[in-house]
Amino acid sequence: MKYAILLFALLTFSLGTNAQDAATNATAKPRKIGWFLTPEYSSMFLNDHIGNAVGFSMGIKLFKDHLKIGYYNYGRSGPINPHTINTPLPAGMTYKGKSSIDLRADHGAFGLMLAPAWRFSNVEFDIPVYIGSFGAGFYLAGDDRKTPDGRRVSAWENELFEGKDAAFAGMFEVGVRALIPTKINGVQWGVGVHYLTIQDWSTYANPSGDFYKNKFRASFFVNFGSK
Amino acid sequence: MKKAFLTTVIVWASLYFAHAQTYVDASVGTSNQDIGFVNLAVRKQFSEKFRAGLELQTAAVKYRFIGAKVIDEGQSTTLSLPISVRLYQFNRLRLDFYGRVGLRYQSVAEQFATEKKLSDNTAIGFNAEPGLQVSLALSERLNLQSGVSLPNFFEIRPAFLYENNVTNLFFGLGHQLSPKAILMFKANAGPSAGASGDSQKFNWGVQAGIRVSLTSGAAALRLDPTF
Repeated sequence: MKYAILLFALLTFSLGTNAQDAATNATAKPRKIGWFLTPEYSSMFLNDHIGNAVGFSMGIKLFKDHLKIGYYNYGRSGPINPHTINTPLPAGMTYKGKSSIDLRADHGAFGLMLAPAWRFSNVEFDIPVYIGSFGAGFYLAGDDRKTPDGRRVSAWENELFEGKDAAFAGMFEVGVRALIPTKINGVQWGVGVHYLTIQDWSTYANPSGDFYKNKFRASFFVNFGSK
Repeated sequence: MKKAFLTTVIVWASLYFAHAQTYVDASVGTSNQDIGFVNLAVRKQFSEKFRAGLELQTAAVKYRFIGAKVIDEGQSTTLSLPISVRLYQFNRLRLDFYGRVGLRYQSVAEQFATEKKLSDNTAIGFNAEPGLQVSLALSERLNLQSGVSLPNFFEIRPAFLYENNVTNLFFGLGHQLSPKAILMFKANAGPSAGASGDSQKFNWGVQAGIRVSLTSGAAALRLDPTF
């Protein structure tokens, strides 16, 4: 969250100083700083299913748009990922009479984005490098969220999964994207492929930590930005 | 607290008496949180760059939280102060910083609260939401908005909780019906997390309504995200 606020502040400041020029004097002198805002949908290719995530990146463009610096944020949300992971409970423990539970998975990823960019013909290519934090876990879903004793769901999850229902880790992702122009100045659409690795992430339901580690992700996006 | 509230009221009241273009919005919608909601807003365009307003949204609850426990009945009302500041404009493309702070009141029947073991049948919350909004004039009468905002919901009473952080992607369309009125459509969606995983996992909403300009001049096609 700190990253987000800092990036918003930096972007606001940097664009604010150039906004007047861009608005009223864009043809008179070239701008030094550009901006981009890119909402995206992505599919992550996991071991036995495809994970759906929604997110965005935003930031500034420097050196004649050859370098993008910004903030990225994307997340897999349980309600748009119906895939469940059957997880046996610790020996002797049951939940609503069951010794194993079907859990859903979610994650959130955010951090710093650096992306060198080049233009070939009208198509722009960039290489987004994401360095940040990755939080992910497994949770009780559907009717299992109605706890038998009225306690909060997280209290039950902590007990059932020995306090390891979710975990944070550092992440590194590198990708390549193609940004295809539209008839509207400042609007592009595009596709990308990314490779994600996370370090030292482990939970009760996935002790090996391989659920998201070393996986490919395909992104589909619309890019808005200064011209 | 009283002084801060009073100061806020005085500052905003004085702004509303200021000479500026005034817009009134009325809309209805539905979301994963609410069976239905009504949204009323007044916005003032104080300068070409700066707009501020006051927005009231009241809803019949479908799936919300008090003390991180589910409520699926009752009502939720939010009073908020949205602002937008133009950062960039070139041809048909415009970028605004968008922000909102608000207070939310939720209530359920006392009997429901007792049955569900809630700590109280009412709750007060606070929302702080920075964002970036892109506006694109598709034609003289049709305007498209997109962007991202990061709503942060804190429950203040009965318990202090970081209830939700949402990565909110939004989309809006404004169609000019007459020189003083536009028809508007808005949609938002995005993953969310908070309250140790006990609150919303994903949020979405759709909304339709009308905007009327109270002063002379063209109706403002540019919409603000509502959440």
